[in-house]
Amino acid sequence: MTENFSKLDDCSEISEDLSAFIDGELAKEQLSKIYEHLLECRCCRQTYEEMKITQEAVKNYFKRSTEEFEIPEKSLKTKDNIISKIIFIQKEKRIIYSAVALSFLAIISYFSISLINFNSPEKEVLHKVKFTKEKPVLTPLPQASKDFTKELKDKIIKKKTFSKPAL
Amino acid sequence: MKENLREIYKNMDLTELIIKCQQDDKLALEELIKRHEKIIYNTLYHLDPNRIDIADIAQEALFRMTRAIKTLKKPVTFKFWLNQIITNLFYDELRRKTRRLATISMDTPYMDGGEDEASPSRDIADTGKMPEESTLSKELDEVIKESIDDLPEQFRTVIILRELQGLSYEEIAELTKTNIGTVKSRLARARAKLQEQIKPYLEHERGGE
Repeated sequence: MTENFSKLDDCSEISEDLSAFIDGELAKEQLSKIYEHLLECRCCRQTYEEMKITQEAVKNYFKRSTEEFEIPEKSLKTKDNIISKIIFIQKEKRIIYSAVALSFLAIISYFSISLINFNSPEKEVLHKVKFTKEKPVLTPLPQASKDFTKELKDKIIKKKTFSKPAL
Repeated sequence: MKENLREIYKNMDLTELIIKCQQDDKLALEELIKRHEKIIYNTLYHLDPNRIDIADIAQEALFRMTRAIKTLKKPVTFKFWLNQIITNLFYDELRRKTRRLATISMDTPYMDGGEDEASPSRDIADTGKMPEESTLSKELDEVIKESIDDLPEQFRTVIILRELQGLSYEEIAELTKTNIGTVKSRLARARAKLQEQIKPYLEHERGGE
């Protein structure tokens, strides 16, 4: 009697594992336990056989139905549509990336040029020239130079009178 | 030239084909879509017994597969990755339409909803009423299809992912956000239910041989 009970317990426990046994998804210890039980229990062996046949039938059904699946007419152009869509997206991406790269390059070049100009000595000279042009420094001429300018002025006047004879 | 390349890609190993696709090869992308469009359609066809918007979801799945192929780091995990796209899209669509996921207990009688709730497409085929020209295997296919349709949502999903997509228990557990033990139990119960429905037809078929 006790033996019968333990047998029944074993069988009910095993029914769930039989499905995993068919799929080869059991751990080694469980695998040998099921295998041993199947050798002993005719009833479970029959259940196993039936389950295997069902599983094969379902698997074959899925295989057949996939092979024979008729894709709806409106989706027939799917492949071409998807590829052209993907290519369009890739092109769009490339354009965006190039635009971003170009703007980045432009910003970097602008800053580097500014930096070079800021540090270069020519720039300094230019600055000085500019500054002196805008605000000329009026330094008083020395006495000697004043006489010199007077002489120069006289010379110019003479030259002018020379060059323009009275008609 | 193009035709030759097409032929080469047709016989190409999936991993190699995926690598070609990741290099923006248009013909490789074409072949990848060609190889998987039917299985995507069929998976969705069986996931949703009402067969609403299958074409739209399938197209979106194909589009996402092609667009995101570059992000696939391990080509060996392609099948799992693809099913992630399919199931995510399918259940997102279900949620969007606020369809309630069926959580029918195993103790619930088979045709729980009664005759009114069962749509004509959910009726189990009657052997006596089948047209004479129908072959036994066609009849069996019809019975299997109807039996799968009538399975509770969670059982149907694991059966499809296992028998149609050939995923491992671990992968199914990850996709369905459950553990391996739950997958094992759901599969066993789904198979038991299917066996219940198919058994008479299988015996009939075997008897006829």
